[in-house]
Amino acid sequence: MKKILIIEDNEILLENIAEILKLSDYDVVLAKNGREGIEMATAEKPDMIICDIMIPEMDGYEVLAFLNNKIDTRDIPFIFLTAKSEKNDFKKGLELGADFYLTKPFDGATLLTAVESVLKI
Amino acid sequence: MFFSKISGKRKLQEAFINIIAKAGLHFIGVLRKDTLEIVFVNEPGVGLFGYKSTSELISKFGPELRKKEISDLEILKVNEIIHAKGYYSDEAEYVSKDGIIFWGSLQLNPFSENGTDYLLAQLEKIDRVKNAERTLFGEKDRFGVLMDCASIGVIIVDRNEEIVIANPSALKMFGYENGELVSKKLGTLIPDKFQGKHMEYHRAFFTNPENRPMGTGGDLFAKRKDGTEFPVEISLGTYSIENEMFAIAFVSDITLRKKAQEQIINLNKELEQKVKQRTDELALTIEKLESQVKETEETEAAARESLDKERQLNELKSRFVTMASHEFRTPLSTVLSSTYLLQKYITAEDQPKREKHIARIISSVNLLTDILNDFLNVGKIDEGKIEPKYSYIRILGCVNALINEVLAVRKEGQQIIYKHEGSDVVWFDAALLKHILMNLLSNAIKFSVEDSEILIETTHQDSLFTLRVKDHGIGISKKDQEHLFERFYRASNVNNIQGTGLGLHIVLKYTELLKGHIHCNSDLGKGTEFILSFKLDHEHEKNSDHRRQ
Repeated sequence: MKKILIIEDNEILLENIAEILKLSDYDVVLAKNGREGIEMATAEKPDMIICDIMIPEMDGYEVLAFLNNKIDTRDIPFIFLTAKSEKNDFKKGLELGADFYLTKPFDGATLLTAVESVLKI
Repeated sequence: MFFSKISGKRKLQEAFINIIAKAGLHFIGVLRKDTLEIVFVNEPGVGLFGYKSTSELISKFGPELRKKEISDLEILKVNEIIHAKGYYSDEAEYVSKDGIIFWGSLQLNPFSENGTDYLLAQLEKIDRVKNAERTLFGEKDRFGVLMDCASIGVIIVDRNEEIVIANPSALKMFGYENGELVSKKLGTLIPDKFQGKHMEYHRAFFTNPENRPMGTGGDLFAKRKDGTEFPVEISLGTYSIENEMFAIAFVSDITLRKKAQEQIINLNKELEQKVKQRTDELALTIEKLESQVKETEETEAAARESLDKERQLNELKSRFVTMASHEFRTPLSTVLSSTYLLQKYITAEDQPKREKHIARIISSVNLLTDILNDFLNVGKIDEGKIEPKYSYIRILGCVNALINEVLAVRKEGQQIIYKHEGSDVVWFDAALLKHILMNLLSNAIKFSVEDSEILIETTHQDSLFTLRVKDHGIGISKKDQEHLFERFYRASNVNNIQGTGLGLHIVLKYTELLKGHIHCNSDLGKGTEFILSFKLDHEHEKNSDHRRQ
């Protein structure tokens, strides 16, 4: 069973994402801000990270950049799930090394497709 | 003494002759017709020529008394005339003993006595008027060329207004033949309607003669022989010969000049009218231009204004898009994900889960509605559509109810403390107060960490109502404080915290609507406090229909 770390400051949305993934037989770990996210990524060694960009403490870009610099976390597949929908945000996210850029609002099926396709790589 | 005394009749004749010899008015003498020697002369005649006694004149050759010599031929002619007419008369110049020349009117009547032919000579010194007139004619002869050739009309009149001389130009001007005007009254040349005045002027002129132009004060008119009138300009002068005064009038026909003047006047009028017309047209054009310029300026100003508005609107739009992007997408994600999960929970045991997600959908939609309402409220405020509705409210009750509402959304361990001082009842707008306090309180919760303390204080003393909300949150930088109340403005340290950037803008606007002031004290990392103060309008309160006793 694959373990996915979700970093999202909106608690309800965080729970919903977790619920969707659990229904599809994924294990989930949750974080409510960037700092917690990095701690969890380091401690839990998830198979994938789904991360919002606009989050307190450290934003999504900073989280990705930080994890990319560490040997034990830099290979973890990374998906941005964000309200930032501008072309430039998208470009910036991929340039930083994200595997997928998913914009809000999203529906459960789209999220699962993205997760599955990234895990297959 | 060749008359003999013969009879009584003769005596009478003698007396008659004696009286004539001594007392006649004029020169009376007798000349021999053949020799023209003076054989008799009366005493007045002797005196006329300046002699002392008759003897000095007797035997003198009569024509010798004349200034001009008379030829034999002329004497012959005189005799012929006498023969034909029975008498001879003429006017001629005579010379007295001491050389004085004078005019005299001579009449010769023939008679015979004892076979000898005699001539009775009566010589009358012509009166001085006649004399002066003659001089005048003499002058006329001298200046005749001048008079005849002058293009100006020259008319000379005597004291009695009789025309003495009128030159050819005057005759032509007035339409008379040569000599026709002489001895006519001056009035002949003056239109009837001016006669009366003319007489006055004439008399005044002779009383106080002065060379003067006439008609300068008004228009003068003269009358032609055919009765037609024409405008004239007259210069008057006087001429005095041997104490007899004459008036000389130099008359110009100014019909043409007058016409020219009238034309000039008309032209001037036309010109003035044209100038006025042009000036009016110009003024109109200027007015039009000015109004066009004004219009252009107004249009430009309007364009600038609308451009400014458009720029503001664009900025607003872009801020709104950013805000919507951030604030709408998260609750919409919740709605979509909860909907997805609802589809998955199909068993009866899943009912609590279904209810949870339905509640999440409802709450997310409410959040979206709140954001939309904020946005719409800003619009309403801008359009002046929001008016405070005052009533007596109980402050403690209102604030506590609000606190209860937000307890659910506060962070873990956050404490909300409320204190009130003064009278509980305040004349205020409950809805606006609720909106203001809700905004400040949610901000305090949102920007404070867990386990922190949030303080609410209200005071109502006299006519002053104050509201204070203080937190120990992240604070606002001085730079951000300057823009804190602008629409969609978000402080640099809250980029990753949800928010529309409308809340404080609405708070400020509502505070202004309630005639209050808002003040912010904040330090980065230490916390923020908002102090709102409202001066309550007691007059308003007393006059209100909503008064509560």
